Formats: sequence, C-alpha cells, structure tokens
Amino acid sequence: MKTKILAVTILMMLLLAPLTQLVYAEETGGEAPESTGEETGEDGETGNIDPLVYQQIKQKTETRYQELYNLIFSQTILEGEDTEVEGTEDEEDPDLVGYDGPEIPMGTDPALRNQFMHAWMAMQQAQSMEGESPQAAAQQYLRAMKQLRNAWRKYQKDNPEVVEELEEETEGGEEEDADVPTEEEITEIQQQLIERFQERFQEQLTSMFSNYNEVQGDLSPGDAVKAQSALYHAEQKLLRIQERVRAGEYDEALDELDETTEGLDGEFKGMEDPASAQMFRTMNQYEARIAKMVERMERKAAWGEDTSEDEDLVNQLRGNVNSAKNEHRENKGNGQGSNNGNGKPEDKGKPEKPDKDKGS
Amino acid sequence: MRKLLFVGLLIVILLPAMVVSAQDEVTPLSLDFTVYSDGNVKIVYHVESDPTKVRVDVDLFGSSYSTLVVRDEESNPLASTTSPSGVTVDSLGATELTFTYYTASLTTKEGLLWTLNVTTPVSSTITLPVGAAIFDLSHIPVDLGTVGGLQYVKMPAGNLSLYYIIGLPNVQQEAQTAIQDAQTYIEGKEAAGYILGGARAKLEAAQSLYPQQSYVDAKATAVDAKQLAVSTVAAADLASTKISLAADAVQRARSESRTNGLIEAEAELQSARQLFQAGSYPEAEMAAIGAAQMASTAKAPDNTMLYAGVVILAAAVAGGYVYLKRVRPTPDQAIPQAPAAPVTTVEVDLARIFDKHEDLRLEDKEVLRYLAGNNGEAFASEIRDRFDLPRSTAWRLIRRLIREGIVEETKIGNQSLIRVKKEFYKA
Repeated sequence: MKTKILAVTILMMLLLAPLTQLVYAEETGGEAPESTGEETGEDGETGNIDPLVYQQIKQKTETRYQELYNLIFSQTILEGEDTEVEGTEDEEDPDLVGYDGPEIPMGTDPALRNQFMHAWMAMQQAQSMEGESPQAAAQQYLRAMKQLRNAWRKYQKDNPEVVEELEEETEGGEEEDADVPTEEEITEIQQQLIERFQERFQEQLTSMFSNYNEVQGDLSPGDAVKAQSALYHAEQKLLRIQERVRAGEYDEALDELDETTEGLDGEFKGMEDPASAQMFRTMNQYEARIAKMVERMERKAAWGEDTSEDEDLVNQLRGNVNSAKNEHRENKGNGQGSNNGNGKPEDKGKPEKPDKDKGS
Repeated sequence: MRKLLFVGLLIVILLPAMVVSAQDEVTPLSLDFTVYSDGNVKIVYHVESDPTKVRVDVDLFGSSYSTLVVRDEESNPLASTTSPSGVTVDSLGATELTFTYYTASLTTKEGLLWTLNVTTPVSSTITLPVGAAIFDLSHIPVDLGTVGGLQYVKMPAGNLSLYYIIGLPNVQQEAQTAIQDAQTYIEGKEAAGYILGGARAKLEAAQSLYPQQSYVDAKATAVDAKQLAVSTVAAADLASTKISLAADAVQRARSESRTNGLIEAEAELQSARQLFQAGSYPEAEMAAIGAAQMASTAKAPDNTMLYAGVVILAAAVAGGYVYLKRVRPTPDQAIPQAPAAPVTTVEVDLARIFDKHEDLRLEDKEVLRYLAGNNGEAFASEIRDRFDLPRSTAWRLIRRLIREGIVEETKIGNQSLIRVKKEFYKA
C-alpha cells in the first residue's frame, strides 16, 4: 500500500512539476523573478542593473504615470473639482499613510486611487534606493508599472467610451514580406541541396573512414566492428541514394539520406564504450562541418574571393577532430577509455578505406 | 498495478527527455519578435543546426505559423512541415537556420491593453508597434531602447510577459513636439527681427522640464511659449502698423505746416520707435497712437497779431490819406489845380520869364526851373529842402520872385504853396 501511495505521489509530483512554472507566472502577473545576473539587464560581476536599462525603466514608468494621471485626472482637475487627497476614508490602505504625491480628485474610485498612490509610492521608494541598489529600485519601478497597468484596467473597464475614443486603426505586417519563396523555388533548391549534401556526405564518410583507421587501435573489438559497419552501411546506402539522385527521385533520396544519417548516428550511439561513441559522433559532426566549409571555399575560390579565413576555420576544425582522437586515446591510456575486455591487440585485418580525397 | 504505475512513471520521466532530444538538434542563437498594432507578431528565429542532419525538428512560438519561411545560412529556402508544436525542416546539412513567420497567437487584448506572452529558450528582442506604450514587464529587461522610432525590449530567456497600450496620449512625444514647434516658431520670428524675450524664457523653461521627465508640464509650458510668441508677434505687427500711421501723420502735418504740436508728436513717435526696438510692443503701439493723435491735432502758427498789424497799418494809411485830403486846398480855396495837377500838366515858359527879367539871380533862376519842372508849383518847404536853403534865405528869395511878379504865394494850412503865375504858362 505504501509503495502505491509513494508511487502515486511521485507520479502526481512529476505530472504537476511542469505546470508549477506556468502557475507561478500567472500568479505573479508580471512580478520580476529573482535576479539572474546577465540575463536580466544586470552587470554580471556586480549584480547591478545596467544604468542605461535602469534609466529607461525609470523614465518609462514615470512617463506612464504622467500619461495616465494626465488622461484620467487632468480633466477632472480642470473642471474645478475638489482635488484634495482622500486620506482618511474607509478604504484607506495602511500602506498609503504618509502619501504626499499628486492630488487625487475626490470621488475617484478607491481602487483606482489606491493603485495610483501605490504606484507613486513605489516610484518614490525606487528613487530613494537607486543610489544603493539600482536593481531593487528597478524592481520598485516594475512594481509601480504593475500598479499603473491595473489602474488602467480599472479605468478602461469603468470608462469604455475612452477605449473607443483612443482606439487606433491597426495594421498587420504580413503584407510587408514579399520575400516568400514559391513551392517551385523551394523544390528546385531542395534538389540542388540534396545533390550537394550527398556529395558532402561522400566526403564526410571518406574522412570518417580515415579517422576510423587512425583510431581503430584504440577501440574495443566490438566497437571497432560497429564503427566500421556503420560507415560501410552508410556508404552502401549512399550509393543507392546517388542512384536515386541520378534518376531524379529526389523525394526518395531525401528520405533515404535522412534515414542513412540518422542510422549512422544511431550506430555510433550504440557503441559499447560511450567515450568512443561520443568521439565518433563528434568527429562526424566536425567532418560534416569541414565538408561544408570546403564546399564553400571551392565556391568562393571559383568566384575569385578570398578563402583564407575559411581555410583557417577548416584547419581549426581538423585540429578539433585530431583533438577528439587524441583525447580519446589519452583517456584510454589513463584507463578511462574503452576496453575490449579480452586484452588482445586490436584487429589489424580491418580494411582501410581508401583515402581518395585526402588532398582536398 | 505496480507495472502500470512503473510504466506511467517511466513515461513521465522520459517524456521531457524526448522533447529535449528534439530540441538538441538546434541551438537557439537569436529570437526577434516584431509586434504589429493588430496583435500579429512577426518572428525571426535564428538557430544553429547540426550539419550531419538531413531533417531537424524545431519548436516554434505560438500555435499558428503564417507565411513560414525557413532559410539556411546561405539564404536557401528550405522545405518544412509544420506540426502543432513546431516544424520539421529538411535542413540538408545546414549549419544555421532562420525561421520567419507570423502568428497572432502570442498576443491577447483587453480593452486597449495588449499582452504578449511567450516562453523563449534564448534572450529575445521584442519590437513594439508605433505608438505603443509599455505598461508592464515580467522581468527587468536586458536592454530597452528605440530604433527607427520603434521601441524595443530585449528580455532574458524564460517565460515573459509584456503589456502595452497603443493609442494612449504619449506625453513625452507630445512634449517633444510642442517644444520643437515652439522653438521653430520662436527662432523663425527672432530671425525675422522680432524680440520675443518672454516667449524665449518660457521655451527654455519647457526645455529644462523635459529632461526632468516632467512631460505634462513641459508640454504645457511649450504651448504657452508659442502662444506668447504668437501674441507678441501680433502685438509687434500692430505696433509696427501704428508707428507707420503715426509717421505718416507727422509727415502730413509737416507738409501742411501745422507745426504747433508737431515737435511733441515727433518726440512721441521717436519714443514709439525706441520702445519697438526694445521689444516693448504694446507700449510702442500706445506711443505710436499718441504720436498720431498729436500729429493730427497739430495746427498752423497763430497770425492774429500779424493780421492786426496789417489792419492797423492800413487804417493809418487811410487816415493819413484822409487827413491829407482835408488839409490840402480845395478848388474853392484857390488851389484847385493841385489835386488835378497830375491830370493837367503845366508848362512854364521860362525863356519869356528870363527875357523879361534879365536881372534875376542865378539862384532865382534855379528855383524857377525847379518850379517849372514841378508843374509850376511847390511848397516853400520843398524849395528849401530841394536847394538846402536856410528858411530866411528861402523866404527872401520867394519874396523877391513875388515882388518881380513871377510867382504867387498861396497858404495851404500852415504851408505856403509857391506857384508860377499863369501869364508865364505856355499856351
């Protein structure tokens, strides 16, 4: 019974866990979360808000206050109504004792009045603490803004005619974008990209065979077989894909390319030694990038453009490939790497993929 | 039962892992939301993709993806298939993917208050529509600003909410516009020569309020500044017109020789001009009006005394004439020819007199010649004066001529009129 209760409790907790964040967001309704450093306009080292951001928040809050006050109360004041602050009414909020801000006209809805007064006092608090803690001051300004938002909600609810009066004509943005490709354009470019991808994949596999030959001694026999097998399978599939491309069967080629690349990655993932698996996956990614860069360099060279930066990047990526191999080898030497478990030397009989494009 | 629970537990544990594994195929790089005033949101999502992959699954934002375009790092458009949670892209070894699409599912509207709600895996930039006023933020943003007149907010990764209103009177913008408007007007008029000290001072006050974020006051002060400038310019134009009119009035008075009060009018006109130069336009106008009135009421100099003098002189002449007429002998007083003398010219025969009276003295002859040339007669006093003779000498001379029987004496008043006798007149 206890086990069941425990399991149900855990299940409920897990089910509800993703919702807690949403509930929190809904409840806070704009309250700022705890400071998270750089991601909230703060100076990462001191925990202080960027002064420019602070000034903007301050300026916007004070402007909103003026705009709203002007909109809601200026007419009333101009009409000569009594503008004394209501300070001793039943609805008086104890937090508002000592309020000495702008006059709120008599007859103002208590909720609206309190929101304005709270906003004012939050701004006053913000100003008083901006020297010591701009971050806290900014939070106070956000608090004031929330009060103003609520004040506006209240005001527009009670004065729907104002909404009609201020409502502006709206405009969307979809018409602005004329740069939407047609299906034909997409299909045409997709076929080119398929052709280019399978060519790059060919280069990638070639490089991966080469890499495999370099590291196979560091792999367990099982992983060596798996890696070689993965590469062979991919190569075989690629040959069929190339046939399809030549036959113009691009949709099928695309599906098979997806299947092949995913299969290759899956087979790498399935290697016994996670470090070896990670090394092959990493090398595979680097080789894909290198193939992409080489392709770009060739294109740029054909246009007569400078490729020195790309060459540097390719060299850097090749260095990364070598680093991955060396790291794997070192880890293995430290006993952290793969272990074939049988103490036998690596299988030397495995075929080496001819490195036909080594010079590219 | 236990098995069932175990399987359920396993699914719950593995489900997030499965989702994550789909997301592992791409690494978010950047995320931009451009919000339009109708609540539609344009999303540009840039991710790094695994170059070994032919297809990748990517979670997108929102529940609908309109006009979805996926491009690789070379801007090649890629084929894609949408699913409820995202999209499957035929990436074909792309290293980077950019998703561009629209969705209206990220925003909600309550009255004028819009809310953008989204969960992001990377910090994102949200560009708001024209005229949007941010009304609340769920987090302190990474950055805030304006580009191309549009506000943007850069928010950290996570659940974010952004509230905004479109159409709220933007006091900052209005203040800025009012200040700019007043400044342009005032500077333009100052360049044209107007002196707008008061308006300039108000403008400067508005400009100093703006950086203090007192936008409502800044706007009101800027509006006041322009209104003051407009009224000052109107006052200046009016004063200028009045000064011109006053100058014309002064000129007219001068040309009409209405000099009485003209000096004061000119002084007032000068004062008006000086006040205008100093920018005291209402005072200049008043002074010009005064100058014009003075000039229009200026009069010619008073000639009464001159006229009176002339009249007195004329009366004196007339009186003298009458007097003379009264004292001269009338025809019945044996001097009838005197008044008629100019009419009836007498010609004395001197040769016959001299022939008859050969013993006449030289001076006697000269007097007779004078009398002959004076129509045969002259007062004794005239003879004395003519020949500069003492009274006694003249008397003896006249007595001698009377004794010789050449002349005769006639008393007219107190004077003696000496006349050649008619027997010596030529016929």
